[in-house]
Amino acid sequence: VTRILLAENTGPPAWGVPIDADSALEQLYGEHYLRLVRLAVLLLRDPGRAEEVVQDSFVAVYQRWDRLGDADVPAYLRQTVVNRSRSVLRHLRVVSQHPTQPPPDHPGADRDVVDAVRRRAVIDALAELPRRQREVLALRYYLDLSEREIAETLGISAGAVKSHASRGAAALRTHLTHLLEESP
Amino acid sequence: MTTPRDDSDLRRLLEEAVSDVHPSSGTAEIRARSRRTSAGRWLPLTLAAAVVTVLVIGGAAWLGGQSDDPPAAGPGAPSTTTSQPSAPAADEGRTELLPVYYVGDTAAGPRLFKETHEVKGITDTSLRAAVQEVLSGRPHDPDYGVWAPPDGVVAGAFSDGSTLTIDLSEPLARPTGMDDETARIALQSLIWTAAEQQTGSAMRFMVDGRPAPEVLGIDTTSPIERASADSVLSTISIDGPIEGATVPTRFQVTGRAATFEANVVWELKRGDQVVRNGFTTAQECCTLSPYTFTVTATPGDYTLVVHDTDESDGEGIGTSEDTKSITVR
Repeated sequence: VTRILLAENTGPPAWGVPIDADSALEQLYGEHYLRLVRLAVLLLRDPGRAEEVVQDSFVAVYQRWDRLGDADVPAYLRQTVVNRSRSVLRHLRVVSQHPTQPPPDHPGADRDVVDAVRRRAVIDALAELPRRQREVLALRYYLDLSEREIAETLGISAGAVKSHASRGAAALRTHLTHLLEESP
Repeated sequence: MTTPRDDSDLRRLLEEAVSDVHPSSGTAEIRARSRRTSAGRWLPLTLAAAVVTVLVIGGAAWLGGQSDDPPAAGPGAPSTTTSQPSAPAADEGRTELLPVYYVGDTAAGPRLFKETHEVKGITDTSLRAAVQEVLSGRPHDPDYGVWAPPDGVVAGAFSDGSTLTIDLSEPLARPTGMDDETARIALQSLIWTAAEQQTGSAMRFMVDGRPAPEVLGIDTTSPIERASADSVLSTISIDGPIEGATVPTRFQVTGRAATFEANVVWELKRGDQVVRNGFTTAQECCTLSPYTFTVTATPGDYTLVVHDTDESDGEGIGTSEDTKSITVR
């Protein structure tokens, strides 16, 4: 299978991969770092840990660059971030029962306070969901992945993605009724 | 299972929820950390697996659908000359050739034998499909059926880049009569199969999302290391032709052997009668290395036997062998 994929994938990879590790890192960083850190915040609720997870994932890719060939590195990064976020959550649950650190507020003008409260409410509501539902919703609504891509990232079936997505969306709507109604 | 209206409102809420997150570090820090942690971190053993990992992740979802094109049967490793990739069928999943390890008996005790399985209808990762094939697939060679997990066990599987995790749908108790060594090798069949798909030098076992204290009676409170090839793989095995294959009158046999002085002895039998025999040597002595030889035979049904020489004069561990039922046509 590996060789078949290699043979057929002779054209330049879809994401226009540069050859050397350093320019690849620059490009990957520019295109994916921020988005993946924000994804990890949705999964972990903790910006500090989120960035750590994404940085670890980039370090792993950078170190192995020569062995990655023409693989779909963004997909690989994405999966690594999700898996590592999961490990962090599991570790937190085992090591301590302390809640993870919520994102810092930036109180200022009223408008800022309102926005910060809204943001916190969404992230807290996600944290209330079962892990799979949270992952599926984040990948679907934040990264805009297809069902197939989500299935591939999480190692579950497309059917499971569907059911986690519909249950998760329903639960999130229930948690966030007030925000959904007040917004345009 | 319907999702009400369009979900643009949820998209917007999630987007907004993290809009204030701004990472503080850049590529310089990533480079610096890479240098600090790189020495000796990726062992050569995992190198091949690392390449496979990303290729499978990267390629499978978008290129993996070659479903209507079964691999050419016959001697040698399964053919990779599959022609045009067809567009992935949305609902039927894709078909892949996956290496899968099963437990067979040898003179040295239970060992792993590798088979290549054509698995159809894959809708999730190749890693998961391969692990599931260990649990619910049937080995082509009935000699490899030493461990047959109970029906209905399913597993999730993923890798964080260094440790593989398998999440079983139910606890696996040790079947009566299974000894420690067989249980150990059975777990290795999962680890070795998974490590063909994704990087991982150890496997963490879970049941239904929680750490599994034991699997098949083996303590799994810490991840189980992937054992070395020489300690778990059969000392002699036939990779091709595969069990039940139909081959031409002149065919090639390939496999791997770790035998005394690299000797590989073979017989082609019809019933108990040896109709052809010969010997060859593997490329290297005493560690698993490839061998190949060519056999010519008239059409008919045969058993191909490949074994090491017995240097023990009947007192040692005896011979190890692998056998395949084949048809010459």
